Amino acid sequence: MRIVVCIKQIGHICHPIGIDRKGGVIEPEKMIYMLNPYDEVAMEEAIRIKEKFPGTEVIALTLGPSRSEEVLRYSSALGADSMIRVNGDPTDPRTTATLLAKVIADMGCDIILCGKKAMDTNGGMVGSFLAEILDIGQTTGILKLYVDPKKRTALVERSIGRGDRELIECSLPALFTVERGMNEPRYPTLPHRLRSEKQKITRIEANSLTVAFDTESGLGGLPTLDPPRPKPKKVFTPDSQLSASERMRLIMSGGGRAAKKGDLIEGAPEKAAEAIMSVLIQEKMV
Amino acid sequence: MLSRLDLLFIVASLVLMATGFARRHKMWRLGDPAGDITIRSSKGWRRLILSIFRPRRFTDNLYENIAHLFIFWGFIIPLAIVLISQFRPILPAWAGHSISFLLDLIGLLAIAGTVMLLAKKFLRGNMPAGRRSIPLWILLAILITGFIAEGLRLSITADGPGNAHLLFSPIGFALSKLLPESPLFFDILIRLHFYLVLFFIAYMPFSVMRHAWASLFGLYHQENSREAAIRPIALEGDYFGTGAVEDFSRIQLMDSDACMSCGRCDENCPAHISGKPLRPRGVINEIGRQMEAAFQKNGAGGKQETGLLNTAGRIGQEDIWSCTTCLACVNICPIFARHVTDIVGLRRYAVLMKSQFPSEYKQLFKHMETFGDTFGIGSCMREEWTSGLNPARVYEDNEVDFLFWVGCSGALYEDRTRAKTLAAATILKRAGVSFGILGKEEACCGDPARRLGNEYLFQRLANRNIETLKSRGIKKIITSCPHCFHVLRNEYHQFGGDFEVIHLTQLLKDLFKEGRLTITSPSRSLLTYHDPCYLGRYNGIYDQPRELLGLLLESNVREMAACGNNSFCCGAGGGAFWCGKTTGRRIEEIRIEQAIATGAEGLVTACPFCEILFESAVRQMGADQSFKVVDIVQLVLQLTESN
Repeated sequence: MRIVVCIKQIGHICHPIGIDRKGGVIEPEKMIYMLNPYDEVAMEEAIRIKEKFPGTEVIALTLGPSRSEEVLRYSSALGADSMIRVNGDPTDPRTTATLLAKVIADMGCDIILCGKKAMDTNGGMVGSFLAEILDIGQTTGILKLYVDPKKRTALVERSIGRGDRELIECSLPALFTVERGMNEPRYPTLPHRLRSEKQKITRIEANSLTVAFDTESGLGGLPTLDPPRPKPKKVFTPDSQLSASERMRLIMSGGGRAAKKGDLIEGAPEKAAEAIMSVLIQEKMV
Repeated sequence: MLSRLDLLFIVASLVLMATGFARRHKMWRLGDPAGDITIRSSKGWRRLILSIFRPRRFTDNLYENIAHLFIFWGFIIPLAIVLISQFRPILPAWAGHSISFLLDLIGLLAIAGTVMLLAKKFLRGNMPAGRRSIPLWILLAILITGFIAEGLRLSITADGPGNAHLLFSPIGFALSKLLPESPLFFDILIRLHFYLVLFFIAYMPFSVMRHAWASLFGLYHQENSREAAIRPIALEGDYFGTGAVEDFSRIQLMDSDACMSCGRCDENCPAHISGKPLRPRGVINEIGRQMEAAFQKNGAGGKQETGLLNTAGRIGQEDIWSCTTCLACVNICPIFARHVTDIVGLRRYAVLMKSQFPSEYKQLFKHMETFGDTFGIGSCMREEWTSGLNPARVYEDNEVDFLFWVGCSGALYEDRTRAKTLAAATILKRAGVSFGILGKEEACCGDPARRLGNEYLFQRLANRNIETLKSRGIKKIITSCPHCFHVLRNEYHQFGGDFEVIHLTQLLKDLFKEGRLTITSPSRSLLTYHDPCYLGRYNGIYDQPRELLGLLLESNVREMAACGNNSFCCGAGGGAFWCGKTTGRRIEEIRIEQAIATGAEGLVTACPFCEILFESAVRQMGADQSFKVVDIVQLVLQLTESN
């Protein structure tokens, strides 16, 4: 069984992005990068499958400049068997997906795991595009994955909100994008880390991939729709005649509107229950 | 006179003892010779002999130490006298008399010592595994039978002429009055006494009395802090840390035999006192048990892994992670066992091989790896504290005498710690010290990574820092963080970074002495001083901060009961600062209670981590109105004025 995990190097989510004081330009040398946390979860899941079914091959795949080899090495330290980097800049999700799809289609695989989204752009589209282009099944935002290599099926659990879970069975090959709560990624052991430092990374030039693009949209990718302007919010201005403490109170209470007073029912539990019931009946809520 | 049978018994007992000890030596050889310590033999002998005559920290455990002193010399001296007397040396009467008086006195003291130890065990209910007190009972029996035999001998010979010599054996003389004149009874008792001694000698390697032999090696191989620094491991191959008996050094295995289970390490361990599962003695004992098990399994050859941390082992996962590496156990241990080295080795195995450690540390490791600091903030923020002061940056080719190593807590943790760094820099400027900072080029010194067993991460950071320091031509470093201080001073030389490192308190004291700083008026507050472990026990700096405080304060420092090398940890060391959760009580709260008990109005410390934890503890305990926590640097800033 072969599992391909698509990973991405993103700017560190907790780091000040190092804006130049003069020009307001992001200084690349001040950037600190990290492996997209969702992808780390996907990698961990792939390795757990590998541990469960020996003989499974885990391949880490990324599209990015040479600095993104860092995250490839990290995922190899986590346990990936081989690493592939497509040299290029991730511009738009569709281009990325097309390039990755070409690499994956060339080598073939049973399971593709992606993070649900990258935490820099929060797009969450590459996975879906990838499955479409490869023409395989996909399930997004999964929380559990049970693979049956003999029957070539997978049973996945995904969240559908409000605490409900959905159980889906599908045949392989398939693509899954994973949710963050799926597992707790491990910390690489030193032997793995040392091995990863010596391991070879397969580098593929993006230009060398002969990719057939949909002529309608072209390689230029997707039109970006700006989100609508947020609705202006009314900011309450207190009367300047009032005393400072009074103004503070008004600002803090958000506009001086008297907070809705609740009724507090006190007494023994039985009596309190009766009183609550009568209120509910009075309000025609039961 | 000895009969042939006696000689046979003597030989048998000596052979038994020798084979027993040879077996223990074979067990120690299970250990990894590569991890051994090399000490110049002259130094080793000097340390060994000195520690026999001047036991370590005698007054800190007066009761046990006196008892041990009595027993030790009460065994050695009579044995020596009896051996020599076999050759029937011709002595003048006065020498014979004084020797016999000495023997009586020593015997009496030895009984006192034995009874003292037995009484302590009974009173404390502290009799782990019962068997440990057997040698004491044998010893007591030897001494009592010896006296009774002497009394019998004297009662038989007393009637002869010239009774003056009897007065030089007062106890024997007193007993002779009570005992019958029975040569048979005398014969039985002297034999009993003799065979008990032989049994005791033969029994030594098979009981805790083996410590008498093994601890000689421990005393020979004792180390000072620079030598005792954690040793680096080569980052090659596919096995790291100590996960099995064979991975300990031979000296470390020997420690477990030298251990008498006196329990002083447990009594002084802040983790143990605060109710955490760690028992330093338990770690040492468990290594000994595993060593015996491994030895029985495969003799003295062939490596067979005995998981020390697995479920079969008795060192639990939580145990090794609750150690704060404060060195209290190592420092009190009379035989210089290396508890912290053992624990760090076990941690190394857990982190580097098994990737098993409290999940909080994963974030810490990742922060140190990606950001180069322990808080995940980033090097571009390392100069934020300088606001307005504008210290020289070394990377801008400024020639400076000292490098001011700021450290993660000083540069990044929060406004309060940054204010302290600013205070330190302001004082240095006032005193006209030429100093510079590394600023954005500085990275974490790696201390938490090393204590937590992540040697890989530590070496990465250490090599990076050493390279920076060398390329900037740094020779002298001052730092206010004792952790950075220890690592830069005692551990970077392992990777080729030899710098002269001074702690800020040392420098400040000198600046006052030279008159480059003066005090406007000394503070009237009553303060107590907390010795940070990494300044005190690790580096022996106890006096300089006190001298500095002596200049700053009107009254003397109110010392806590646990001060100096007996200081009680704040609970931050060994990476514990980054692990929020805790079992039992919080260590820093116990320390604050000790501080409040002195009647002082506040506590001064010289470590940023101690200060952070104490401050929060004081707030937690609701004592922040009546008790304040101050850093020594801030105190200096308040009390000095620019010249």
